[in-house]
Amino acid sequence: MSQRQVLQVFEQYQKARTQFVQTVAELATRPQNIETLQNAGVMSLLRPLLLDIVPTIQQTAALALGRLANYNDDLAEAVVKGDILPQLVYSLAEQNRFYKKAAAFVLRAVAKHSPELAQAVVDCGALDALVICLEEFDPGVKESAAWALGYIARHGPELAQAVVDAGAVPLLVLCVQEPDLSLKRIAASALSDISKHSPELAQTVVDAGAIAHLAQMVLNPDAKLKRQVFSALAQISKHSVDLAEMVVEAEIFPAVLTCLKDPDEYVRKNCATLIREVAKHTPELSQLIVNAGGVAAIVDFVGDSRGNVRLPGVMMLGYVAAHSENLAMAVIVSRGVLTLDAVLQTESEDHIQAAAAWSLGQIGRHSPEHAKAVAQANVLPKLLRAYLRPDVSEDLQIKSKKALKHILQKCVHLEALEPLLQEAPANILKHVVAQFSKVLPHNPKSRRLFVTSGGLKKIQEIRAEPGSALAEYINTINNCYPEEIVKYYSPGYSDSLLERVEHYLPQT
Amino acid sequence: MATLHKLLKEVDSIVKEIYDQQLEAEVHRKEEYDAAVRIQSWYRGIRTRSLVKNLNRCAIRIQRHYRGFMGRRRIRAILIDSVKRMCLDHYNKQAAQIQKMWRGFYVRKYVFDYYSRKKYLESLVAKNEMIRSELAEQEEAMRREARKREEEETRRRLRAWAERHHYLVSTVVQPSVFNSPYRPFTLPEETLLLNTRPKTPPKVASVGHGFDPSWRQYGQNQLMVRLPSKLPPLPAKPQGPFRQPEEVRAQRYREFQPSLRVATDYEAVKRAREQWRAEEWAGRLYDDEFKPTKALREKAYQPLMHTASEYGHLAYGNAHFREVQPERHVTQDRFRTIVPPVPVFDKLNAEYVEGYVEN
Repeated sequence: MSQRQVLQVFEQYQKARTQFVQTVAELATRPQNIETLQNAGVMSLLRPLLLDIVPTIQQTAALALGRLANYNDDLAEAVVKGDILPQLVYSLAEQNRFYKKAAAFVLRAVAKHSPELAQAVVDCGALDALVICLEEFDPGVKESAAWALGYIARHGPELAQAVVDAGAVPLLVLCVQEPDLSLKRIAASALSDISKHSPELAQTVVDAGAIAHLAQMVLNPDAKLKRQVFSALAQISKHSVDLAEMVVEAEIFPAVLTCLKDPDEYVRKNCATLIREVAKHTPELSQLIVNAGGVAAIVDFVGDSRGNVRLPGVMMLGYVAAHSENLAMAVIVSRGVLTLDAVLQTESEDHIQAAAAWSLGQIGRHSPEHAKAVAQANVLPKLLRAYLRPDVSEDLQIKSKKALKHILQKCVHLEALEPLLQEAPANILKHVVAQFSKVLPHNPKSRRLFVTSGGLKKIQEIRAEPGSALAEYINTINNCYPEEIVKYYSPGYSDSLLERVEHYLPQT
Repeated sequence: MATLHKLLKEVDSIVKEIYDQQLEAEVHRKEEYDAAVRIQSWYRGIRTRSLVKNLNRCAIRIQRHYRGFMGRRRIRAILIDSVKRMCLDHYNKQAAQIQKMWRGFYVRKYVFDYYSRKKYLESLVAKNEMIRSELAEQEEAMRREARKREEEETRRRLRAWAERHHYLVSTVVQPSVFNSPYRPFTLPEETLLLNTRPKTPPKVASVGHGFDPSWRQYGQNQLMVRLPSKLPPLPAKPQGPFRQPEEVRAQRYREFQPSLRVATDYEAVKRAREQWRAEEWAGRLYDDEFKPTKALREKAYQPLMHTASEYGHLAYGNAHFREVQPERHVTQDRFRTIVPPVPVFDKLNAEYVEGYVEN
């Protein structure tokens, strides 16, 4: 055979390999093909192609493997079991940027499914190679490497610590400053994943100077970037007061409040999460947020959003009100109670209602003024109903009961307490009656109102064990009134009167 | 004696008078006695009364003085007491004022300040309103921008579609799909197509031949191929006078006759030099340079310090005239002469252009 004929055989083989790997990569983009591919044993066929001489085939094989591993964790496990990872890690250091991108994609796809797989990726020594990729010039390579590191760090504190120990954080902070938008997004998301696990990790991220750069990007027009930035800042500030103070010192308020009106709802949610994490630590931080007008913005946000998105806003109001009665009054004055009432009424999910009940309890428990403001919004019957409904979760029950107790212990606004006399169970009724017994002895007008509205009648109908606190309260109330009236309203009085009529002998 | 006589004469009458008088007196003795007693009692009464009155007056006087003295003493005591009480009241009030102010201050500073809290809550409400309105404005602005971008995007897409599908426009002869005769109205796509300029397909840049100056019939080949056998008819308006068409054609398709300068390559001299140098080198037998004297042959060549200096060869015509190499300067400051300022230069600077004369 001539030389050319020999070479032609090799060329045909190369063409065939190229076509195979390109087709497999294309087929792997559609989920319905992947089962078939898996059954056909595509993994074992792709593995040797990773070591092919032709770079294009290598890259496309890596891309196909990445897409397959991305789909579900069985395939990712197969990638791990097939000993492909060490080869990929080795070539990450050597090859050109397209291969690096594809290899980082495979690592990311494997690591995203579960902590064990991520640990397997780390055990292959992928971290050092990925960190080296972060120093490349090409933004696409950096983006893939940062994405992979983010997915690894997401699973747990040990993995995040491993990522930090590999020295990724300063490079990620450098990536955040790059002009490329998608790279910024991914770097911000990776920083957020690292710092969410523990205060030490968050401190490491802060020490690398991340806060200043993240704070600069708060006003960027891109919505997805803002999501990640706010998520990162929230994860940093949630761990301790110092971190929250450092985030606040970056002068994000009041610019952050504009993002509460962003068209994208996850930007709004993450922004509200950030404000919540800052507000929950100390009264001073909450005061800062209140003075910047944050409470009004959050109240508007809670009023405009629906569903899970408004949960951080609801919790933020509760945290702010919990610190001091000054701040609780500030929340009331900013129309927070009405909004929380609407949340309690309209939301169907239990955990959001529980959060709203908790927040209302924190607002109302400080003083009679606060309790009055809460009670006037007609909140107490709703809380009672939430407590008594048979199908609610335990969390909602406990929270609404506690909220009711807190508010009732300070409420002296009797018109709001009267509807509770009818429906409340014994343990709540005790507090309601206690409040009546505190107010009625001193206020003649309220005594009159109490009688005319039928409250006294209901009090008489309550059956209490003698010697219990409830009986004492009922006694106190009864002593405020003349005996005839008490007897008139006590149950069975008409029967005893009729009996007397029966036994009465008319005087002739 | 005479007197005695007279008296003895009258004794009888006198004795009678005495007896008469005595008798009268005896008659009137009771009356007179009563009257005397009455007068005496009246007089005694007067005297006694006046004595008693005097005594009374004296007693009263004494009592008055005494009572005044005691009363004044008591009054004085009461006065002292009341003055003391007034002073104490005053001090108490002042002390209460101090305590009032101190307690108010202390409570407002360390415990709770009602008015400042009220003011704070009012200002908080005002600030909230301000923030709400600002945020609403910004939200409106963002929405407007998003809407504008969306509109721009749709407009761009429509324009791109129209540019690519311009062939769908209707002609006089053949109405298009959007201008169907079976429909009473034309669709808006028709107007869109009419209003946009069609996009011509991108011209594939042909790899032209490099400029070859020796090609005498430059351009003639391409044009001659496309030249129609018959030219299009002339318009009715008379134009002329005309030259002969052969003349015109000869002029129009005249062959390119570049001058020698144009035809020569820009780097022809350099290439010619190099070619000559190469030829010379190839034909050279001895590479050693010819040195006329023995001294030159044996001694090593010592270049001039002038040219061998590290500060560069300052010969005329280096890379370019007026070449400066600022990185070799000792300092980047400009060289200044220390001369006293000349006022004429300032005037010239002001009259001509600032910096025209540099001092």
